[in-house]
Amino acid sequence: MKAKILIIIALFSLILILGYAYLNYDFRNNIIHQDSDFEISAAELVSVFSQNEANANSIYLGNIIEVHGNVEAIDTSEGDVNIYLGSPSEVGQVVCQLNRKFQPSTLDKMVGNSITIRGECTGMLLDVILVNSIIIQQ
Amino acid sequence: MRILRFILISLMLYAFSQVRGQTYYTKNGTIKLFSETPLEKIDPINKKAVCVMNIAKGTLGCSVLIKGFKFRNALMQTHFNENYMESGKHPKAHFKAKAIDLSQIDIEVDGKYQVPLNGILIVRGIEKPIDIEASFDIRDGKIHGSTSFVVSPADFDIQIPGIVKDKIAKEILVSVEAQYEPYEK
Repeated sequence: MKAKILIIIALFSLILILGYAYLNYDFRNNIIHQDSDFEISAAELVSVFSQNEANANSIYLGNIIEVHGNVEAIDTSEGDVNIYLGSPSEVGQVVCQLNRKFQPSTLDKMVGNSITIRGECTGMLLDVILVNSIIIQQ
Repeated sequence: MRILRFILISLMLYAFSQVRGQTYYTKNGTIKLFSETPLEKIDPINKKAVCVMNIAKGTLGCSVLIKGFKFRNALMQTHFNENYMESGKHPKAHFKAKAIDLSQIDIEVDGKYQVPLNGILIVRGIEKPIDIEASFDIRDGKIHGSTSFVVSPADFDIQIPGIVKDKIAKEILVSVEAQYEPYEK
């Protein structure tokens, strides 16, 4: 009888723990294991958004994009690492806000180099923005 | 005639440079939302707001991407985007203010300036007039702007289902911080 009660308590606790984990775990942090919905260059991504933002939103918004381009600048001023991927267009760039769990230590050496970053597209303001990003290749 | 044309063009260039020189912007504005009830505290943050102000023209605008709000709870973030804000349909929120008196702000003089902003808040495509007070802190030629105000989800036709009604405040506090830089392009 005592064993049965202990098993029920253990199962109940397990369900509570799993429920709490489900509600609080940030599944998007698993972006490293997710497949990209699209692969595109930074210049092309900016161009698509600049030409028809509504259409670009319908394609890319909320999706995981793997974007490649040259690192124009890196901004760490607001506590996050933002990597700016350049484009020949003057309209804007692609800004990749890195996931805090996957920030590299050698940021300075990246500027001017080619890089591939995967992140979730949140849309375009002055630049096209990817959040929760991780570096795939540099 | 040539001299007159030269003077006119010079005057226009001077005027343009004066207006352009008084434009300040940031791409890294921070917007925080805060809701607290006895059952739940919700405090998402977005650090990629774009804010532009022109002191000479007396205009100020901020835009933010809804999907850029980061929540502590992933499920809450999904509900926020899909059920309440419909961020796929309305990806941005805006604040616009025109004809505001920014003339008291002297970029050459360090100090704190309080400025009333009478503008329009656009959320989910719904426009609402809003009167807020912003603070501009000038230090070493840089402008730090901040403000906070309260909005009601009901004003923007956001329906909160009964099951979570006690977890979401009827009034949401919105805080904005922006470190402006001169626009030099």
